[in-house]
Amino acid sequence: MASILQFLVYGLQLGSVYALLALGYTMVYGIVGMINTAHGDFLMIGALSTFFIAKAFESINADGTYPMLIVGLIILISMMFTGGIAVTVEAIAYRPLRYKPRMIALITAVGVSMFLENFPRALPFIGPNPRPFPTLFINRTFNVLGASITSTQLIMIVLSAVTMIALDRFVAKTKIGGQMRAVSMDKDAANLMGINVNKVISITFFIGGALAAVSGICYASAYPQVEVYMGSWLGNMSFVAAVLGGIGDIRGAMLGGFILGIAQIFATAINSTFGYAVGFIILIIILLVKPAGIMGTLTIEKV
Amino acid sequence: MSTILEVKNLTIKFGGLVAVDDFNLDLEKGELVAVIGPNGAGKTTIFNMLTGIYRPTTGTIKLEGEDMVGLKPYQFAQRGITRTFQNIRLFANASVADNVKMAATMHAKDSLLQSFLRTPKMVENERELDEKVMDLLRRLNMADKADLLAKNLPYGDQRRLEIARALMTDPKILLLDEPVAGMITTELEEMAQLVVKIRKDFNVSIIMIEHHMNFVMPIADRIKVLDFGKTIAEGVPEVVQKDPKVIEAYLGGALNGNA
Amino acid sequence: MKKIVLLLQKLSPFIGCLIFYIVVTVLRSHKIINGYYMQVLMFAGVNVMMTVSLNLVNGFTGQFCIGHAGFMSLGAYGSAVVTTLIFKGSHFTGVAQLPVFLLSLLCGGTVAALVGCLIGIPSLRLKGDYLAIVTLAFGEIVRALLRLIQPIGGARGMIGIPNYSSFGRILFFVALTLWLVRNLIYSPFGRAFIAIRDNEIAADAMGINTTKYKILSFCIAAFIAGVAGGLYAHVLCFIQPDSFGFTKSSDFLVYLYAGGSGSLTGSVIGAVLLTILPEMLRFLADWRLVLYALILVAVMLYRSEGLCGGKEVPFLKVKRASLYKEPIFGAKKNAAKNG
Repeated sequence: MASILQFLVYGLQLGSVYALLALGYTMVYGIVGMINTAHGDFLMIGALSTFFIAKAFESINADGTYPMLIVGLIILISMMFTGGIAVTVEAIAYRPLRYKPRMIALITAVGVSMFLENFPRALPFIGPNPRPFPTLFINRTFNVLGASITSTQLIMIVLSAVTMIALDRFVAKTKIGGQMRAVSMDKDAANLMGINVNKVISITFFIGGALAAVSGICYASAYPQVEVYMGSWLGNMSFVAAVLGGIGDIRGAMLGGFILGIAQIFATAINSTFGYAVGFIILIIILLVKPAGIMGTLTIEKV
Repeated sequence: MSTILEVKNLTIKFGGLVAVDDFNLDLEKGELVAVIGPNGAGKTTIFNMLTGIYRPTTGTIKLEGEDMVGLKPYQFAQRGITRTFQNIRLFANASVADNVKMAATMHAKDSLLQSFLRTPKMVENERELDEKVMDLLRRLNMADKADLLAKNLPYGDQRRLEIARALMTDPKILLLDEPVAGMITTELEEMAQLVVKIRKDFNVSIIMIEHHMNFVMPIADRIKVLDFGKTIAEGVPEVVQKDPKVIEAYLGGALNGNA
Repeated sequence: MKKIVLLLQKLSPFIGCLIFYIVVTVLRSHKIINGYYMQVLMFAGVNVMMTVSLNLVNGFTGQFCIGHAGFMSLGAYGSAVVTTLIFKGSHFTGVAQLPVFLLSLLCGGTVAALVGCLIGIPSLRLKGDYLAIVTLAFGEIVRALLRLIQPIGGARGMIGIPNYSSFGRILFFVALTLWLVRNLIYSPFGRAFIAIRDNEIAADAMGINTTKYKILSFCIAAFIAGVAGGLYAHVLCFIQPDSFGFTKSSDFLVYLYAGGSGSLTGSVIGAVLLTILPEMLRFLADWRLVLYALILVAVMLYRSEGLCGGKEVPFLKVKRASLYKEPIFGAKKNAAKNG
């Protein structure tokens, strides 16, 4: 019982990383219709930039921890920075291809991903070697029904839950959210209705990048290391999570992220290779039963 | 004349909506039947059922006695019912000749191995096919356009190519979905002549959907009028034209711009 | 005379590869190309086969396979098992080597093709991006399974594979692939593939059993990828599951679309250029992949139809004895947009 609870906590922790990243995937897919394979690298940029921002605040670091306010500030700056990178990538590399076949955008995204990984790697002050991630959150361990839960885990799960609920409300309630939904249904019609499509897409990428930064901070806090390739694998997994939930659907992405995270932790307990494949197996099974994912609806081409 | 297609009690429901209600049709060999009615009357839905794209909720479709309900669209085509599309669906990046050739796929005799090795027999089959395609295009006055890409054709030619492609499958029944939609008056006359010619030369029965009364009246043997999924009138053009229910549906409701 | 010209045209991929072989052999004997570059050229050959087969599925049939390295790994392991485990230790020399090698490649190709059919089946229900993600998942599951099977080395991989793949042999298989695929494309089968790509609903309505042809396309592509994988294993003499991950699959996608999908010429040029380019950039050390990435993005932005833009050089086309000029199968552009 205790170990099941323990695994569940680990699963939620990993799931929140996937879910946050999957949100960006799904939003970009829903609005631009492209698979942004470089999205995982935004996570890496988020974690890496946090590393350097935290370093800049090092003088305030008293007795090994940062004050809460400063942690908030570090996270905020990192989110802004990563969001900015995402917006820039979209404006330079994806915008000119918006009306081209989707595969073209996918290949460009592969190139962008390669650039985002190898550019910091080539920079002398970053380089290919992994570095320890600074401790941002207070580390205390609680004992709940025999399972040990760290404060970092709790903060991560709460932080991601709050972010996701905020995003869901944002898209459902605000004016910009409404514009996003309009653009996702029909770009051209939205444009004719006076919506600035470029602006909406930029905002989408910004949010996606900012969320990826949060998930990067979560991930790097749990497995305290940062390196330039950390995003590619996580990106793939969160893409799976997004499809699992029904790509284009925000709640589906969250659901898919948590399902995947929990399944992966439990399967890893059985066998590490199985843990690594279980997400894909679940994906295939779900798609065979529900071809558009758990929450997705299939669009039928009208004849 | 003998009945080639027997459609009985064809009904389809989408959720609670009855899109087509109790449609019946006995199509004679070589006959040209037109299905008319306002937008949204369920005409294209009937075609979708007659080509296997939708499966009717109830009712039967019999082609020369064979039950067709439940077959896949390609099986409908293989058994002899082919169609054109209202919203043109050509193989846009292939040439006109290749578009027509693609429709001959199901008649191809070459095995996979023969195709891989491009055996002399296969080359000979291809040459025969080329001749057949050119012959068909000549009969439809499109031979000079054989090399153009389908997507670069003018609109009227795209509609004609749709018909040419459908004919290449060697159909018993040809379904034409709004063959003159979006055409100008001078083109109407041409298309009417073409339809009459096809019917005679290719020995096919034709079912045609069209709003355009001027186009339908002179060439159809029989007309069925649909409104809100129901058949409201049926008969030879002269009678249907004077039917008060038809006038009500057409003129009483929203006046169709073309009609 | 005319007959000879026709025959030459028929076999043009072989002649092209033969000329290339002679040129390379001469350059090699004059020490202009070193052993390292010979190996790069061999990988380029394998990549051409991979890209051409991927082109069959993505470029000509209009499906989305993004896990093509999975088929390659099946072929690599399938053939390596035959040469390394079944004919254990006895490294064949001379006459006996070739049949063993061919048998192993056949095994590799067949294993990949069988699994390819299996993967084609979800394509009955799934379209576009969903099919893409299933092929990705398939590639990763294959990788995970290979890691679990201990007799073939598990995650550590397989070593001691004999180096049966010579430059000449690989070039022969490249020529064979180009010849067979070219013939296929200009046959009723190829036309069915292209019809499905351009408008699946219309293809269905014209009597083309789209399911059958889609699965067939996957199977043929998987077989070629399997053979290519077998050749690859016998160049490197060492394979491990992790070298066939998504990164590898995306390499082939890059070759295909940067070269221009829907054209065999594009596949050849894309695969060869982009295999050699990173090697040429080695002097840049850490900045090599940065520049490679920039070049790739620039190509996609300024020439998004690919370097060849769907055009075909004459020797990869079939000469028709037809009444009209040759047909043009363009690259996939705005397909199905007319609807």
